[in-house]
Amino acid sequence: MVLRLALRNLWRQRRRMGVIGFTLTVGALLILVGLAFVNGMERNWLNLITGTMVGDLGVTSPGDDKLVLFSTRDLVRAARETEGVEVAERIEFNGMLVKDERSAPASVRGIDVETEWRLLRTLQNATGDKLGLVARPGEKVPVAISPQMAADLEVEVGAELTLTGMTVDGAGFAEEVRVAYIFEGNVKNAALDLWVLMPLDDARRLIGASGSVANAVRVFLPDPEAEATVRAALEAAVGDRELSVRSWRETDEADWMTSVYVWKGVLYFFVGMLALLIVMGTFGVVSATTLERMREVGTMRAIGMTPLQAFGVLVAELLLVGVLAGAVAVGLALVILALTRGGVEATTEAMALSFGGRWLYPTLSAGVLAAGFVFTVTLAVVSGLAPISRSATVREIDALRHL
Amino acid sequence: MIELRKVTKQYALGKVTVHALRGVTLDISAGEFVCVAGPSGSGKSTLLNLIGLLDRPTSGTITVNGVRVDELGSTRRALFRRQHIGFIFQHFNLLPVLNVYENVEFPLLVAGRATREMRRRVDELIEAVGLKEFVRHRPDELSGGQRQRVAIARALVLEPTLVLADEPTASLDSHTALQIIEVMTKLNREKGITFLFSTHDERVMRRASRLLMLRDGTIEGDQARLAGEGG
Repeated sequence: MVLRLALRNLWRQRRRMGVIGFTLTVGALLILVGLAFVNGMERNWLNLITGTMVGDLGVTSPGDDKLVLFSTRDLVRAARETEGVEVAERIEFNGMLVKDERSAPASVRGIDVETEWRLLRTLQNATGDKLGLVARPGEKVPVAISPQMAADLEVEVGAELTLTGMTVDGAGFAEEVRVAYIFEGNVKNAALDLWVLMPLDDARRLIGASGSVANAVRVFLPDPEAEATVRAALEAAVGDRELSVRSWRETDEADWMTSVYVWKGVLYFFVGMLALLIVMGTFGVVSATTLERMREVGTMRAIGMTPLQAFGVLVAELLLVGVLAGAVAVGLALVILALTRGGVEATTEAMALSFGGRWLYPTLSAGVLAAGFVFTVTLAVVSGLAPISRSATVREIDALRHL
Repeated sequence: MIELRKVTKQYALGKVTVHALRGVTLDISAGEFVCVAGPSGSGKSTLLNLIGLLDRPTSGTITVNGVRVDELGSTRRALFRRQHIGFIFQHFNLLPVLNVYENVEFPLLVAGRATREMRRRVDELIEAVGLKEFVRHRPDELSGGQRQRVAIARALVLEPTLVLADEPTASLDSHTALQIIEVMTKLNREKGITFLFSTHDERVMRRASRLLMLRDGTIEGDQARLAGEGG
């Protein structure tokens, strides 16, 4: 009964209810769009720090030791450009450690191969990429081979082999290797069955490693949410070696985000003030409309509607208005987000600084949109509770006398 | 059916206390067609409002159908009103956003009656008050007399045992007023519904089977009469 009456009243008094709905919709939309811009700004700054400056995680080597990890693609490219270096052809995979082309090739000095493998393997799992490993002079070259090759050669980890192959020029080569690792299952490139590696000094020579040795590794995660998990795995991989693993939050660059969060707080404050204005505005409109309907409510009560029923009908009306307004606000917010998907360009330097870049991409998660919808509905009901309570519980005779 | 014992109603009007009713004692039996008459300010509306549970007495007791209604809380008063009392207001008090059919149907919706039963009852009453062609009209599209007919139909839809009408013909021309009283009389005669209504109109008073004269909040006269007799 309550819902039926509320629906009917809503339709019949659509002009009056439309005013309330319009207030709610506009307010909710402003809040959602404001939040989308705030989120976009935060994301820009976060990407700037973690995507360009320091990465999501970092592995650093203290002291003079350099932390060096190789990208095998770099090795292959460098080898092909250098005469006299033999490289097996069948290395065709992306061995990028970093997200972009600015890889920092290096290897870890002073740690054993197994630790290095664990570290690299962890990074591989975290970044989804394959990594290379360089042997030390005098050591048998540690290699990783495919399960198929291991089955064909009937070897396990630790086996020592002489591996032969053909170079790009058709020359043969033989290499004394030690099987350090056997890939698990789904190797992306079927052509890959060997990581050809070379002595560290040769590798450095090839790619000018002395000029490009890094003392830190930046890890850029495909899924930033996995930061905690990857960090734990990295720390386990380095064991008790003197390598430190730290999050971007522990870097100096993280201070930039403090400023962003302050700005975010200021913006949230204004969003809160806007929400308060909406509450007051809606309260005013609802109070006025409820007062106008006082006599009507008195009649309903006189006919036999209990105070609770009257309250229920009036609240249900507001609830329905809130649902409609929330849905429209969310819908319009989605339209605005779609229209700004290509980004909003900063027209001044000050804007660019605020945006954290030349372009800002407003974003809203499904959770925030849902929260915005719930907030609008709640606002609609809460704004009207006081005047509705009064109207529903006033003496019938007083309500009937209301002009 | 209705018993009032030393009922008093006072209310404050600024610094002044208004004594709307002063110790009224009254009995009304089932099936009576009672008119409450008196000058303005005599307490007619107050009396009807108290019996109709739209207001509470300052002191005294009111019993309707054996129930001490002056002791009931808001919700039980509403429920009692719904079950036993129909009210016809001077200014009709129809719900403006609803059409004729929906106004008459409204009490049934509130009472949670089944849809088929609702339709049957509403159709019956709209037919009885002669408004079949106007079912989809809103109150602002009807004449005064038509609105009052709607109000009568609404007051009767839940089959009350008592109908209270506060100056039901005050907003109507004399011809229409008599028509309305005719409708009420017929319902009283055929269905035995108790009617208690207030009026200034002498032509309407003549139709009552009992005339209560109020002045300054007290009953000045209580006269049983035959319908059609002079004053």
